Amino acid sequence: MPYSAEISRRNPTCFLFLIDQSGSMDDPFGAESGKKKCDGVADAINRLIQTLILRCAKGEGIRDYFHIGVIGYGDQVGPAFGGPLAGRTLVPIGEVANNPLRVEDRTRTVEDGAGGLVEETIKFPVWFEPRADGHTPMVAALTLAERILADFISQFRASFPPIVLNLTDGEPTDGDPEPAAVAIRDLATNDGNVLLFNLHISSQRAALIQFPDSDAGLPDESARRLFRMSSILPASFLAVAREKKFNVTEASRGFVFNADLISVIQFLDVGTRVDRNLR
Amino acid sequence: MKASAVFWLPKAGTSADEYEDACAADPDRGYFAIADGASESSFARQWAELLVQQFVRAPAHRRRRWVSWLRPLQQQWLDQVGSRPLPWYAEMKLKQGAFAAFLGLVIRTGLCFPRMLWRAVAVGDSCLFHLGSGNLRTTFPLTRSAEFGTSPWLVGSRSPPEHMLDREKLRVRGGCCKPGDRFYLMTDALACWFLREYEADRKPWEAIDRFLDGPDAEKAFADWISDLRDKGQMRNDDVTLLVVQV
Repeated sequence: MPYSAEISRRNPTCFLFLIDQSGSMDDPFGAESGKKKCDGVADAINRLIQTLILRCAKGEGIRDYFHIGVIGYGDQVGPAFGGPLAGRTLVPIGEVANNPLRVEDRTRTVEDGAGGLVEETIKFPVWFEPRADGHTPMVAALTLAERILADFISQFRASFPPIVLNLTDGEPTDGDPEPAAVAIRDLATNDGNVLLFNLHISSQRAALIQFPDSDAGLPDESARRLFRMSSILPASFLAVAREKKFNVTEASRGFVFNADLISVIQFLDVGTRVDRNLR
Repeated sequence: MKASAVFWLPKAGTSADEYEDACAADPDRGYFAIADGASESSFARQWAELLVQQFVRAPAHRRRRWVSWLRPLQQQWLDQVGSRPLPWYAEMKLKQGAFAAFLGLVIRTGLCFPRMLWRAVAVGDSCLFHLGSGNLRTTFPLTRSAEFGTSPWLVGSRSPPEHMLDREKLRVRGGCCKPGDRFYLMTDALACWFLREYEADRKPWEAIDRFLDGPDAEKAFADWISDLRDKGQMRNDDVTLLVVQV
């Protein structure tokens, strides 16, 4: 059965994030939100990397179950880690954990246990900075991703297939991305094909569509194309989506349209849930 | 009464010091426990070990004792693992606590000698199977192989102990047993295999009894588990088996 390989240190998998850094990412999420799309996405990715690290933290160390990469596409296309990891494409997660760009102190409000609220300082490591400039060279990003993943697969042929999460707010400006998406999804380990999940971020208040099983309700060709580019969710991902009360079917795809910030976080969560395969 | 044997094996591909189950027995007093440290949590082995050791010292086999029993163990765990400086991720993980499935068994001579009374307490998916007169008399707390695989309730080293008191989470069961009966306590991967075999009208305890009574039982156990894993009949997980001969 595909997508059942154990994820272990001998047999790691990888997550590759493709982040749209075009100029329009400087606009806010939806009409009512004050948060810029690029800031929201950077926070969500940094937070997710932290969560993935915690899944791999054991005692005082980290087990390299995952290799992580972030590719930005805007005025440039390339690796988007900052600090000591700058220029690296896929990095074992232990190395990611020990080399953040910086660790910020952020505050959050929590219950004090006596009916009140109290502010608490938490550590927030940052690996990836927001950026918004230039066009949307998605084809170039997908093509680079294919090269990176082909290299990973040649090293780890038995691994749980790599997962690519592409987050974009617009249409590609460098051609039709569909053939490049097909080329990524055609890559395979012995455990199945590479998974490509796509998320479209909205600048307007528009109907949110999460993990659809057909393109029937999608408003235009650009949305339908992203739907076609997205992999069908394997059973274990469907189980996670169902646990999170998403209305999914066997044909549901790893695709979200008109995402707000919350649905960005939900998309990243569902798309990276491979905990049950960890050993 | 005696605990006839304990067998354990780490996940394939990991070393013995990464094994995160725990097992303890005091056969003279009839106290037995196993625990399965959740591998997604940190310092889970220490937590599993604390639970089983304390159970065989002073068992909490009644619901009302649970909170006062668990609270000092949580402090001990924190004292053991939280006293030195840690990298940011290890510190964050420590705050989440360690988690373990737990199963404790107490067997006592009752008023109805030679019959005895047993009582078990469980949180999560480690299971007990009671075999008497060649029949499986009890499976506890899970009864069907289909029940494995969902996220089990676990005992947390930093979760409020009161939160475990629901009947759905902290399960208690008791019954009678007699000399010659056997109890098999096992962590989830083996327990799931056991129930699947039983559902297919086979007698899974016979496979266990074969190596139990044979020579070099430990090696036979390791070979048998490796074989089940290789054939895809058992999930690759730490395995612990405690067999109690009444």
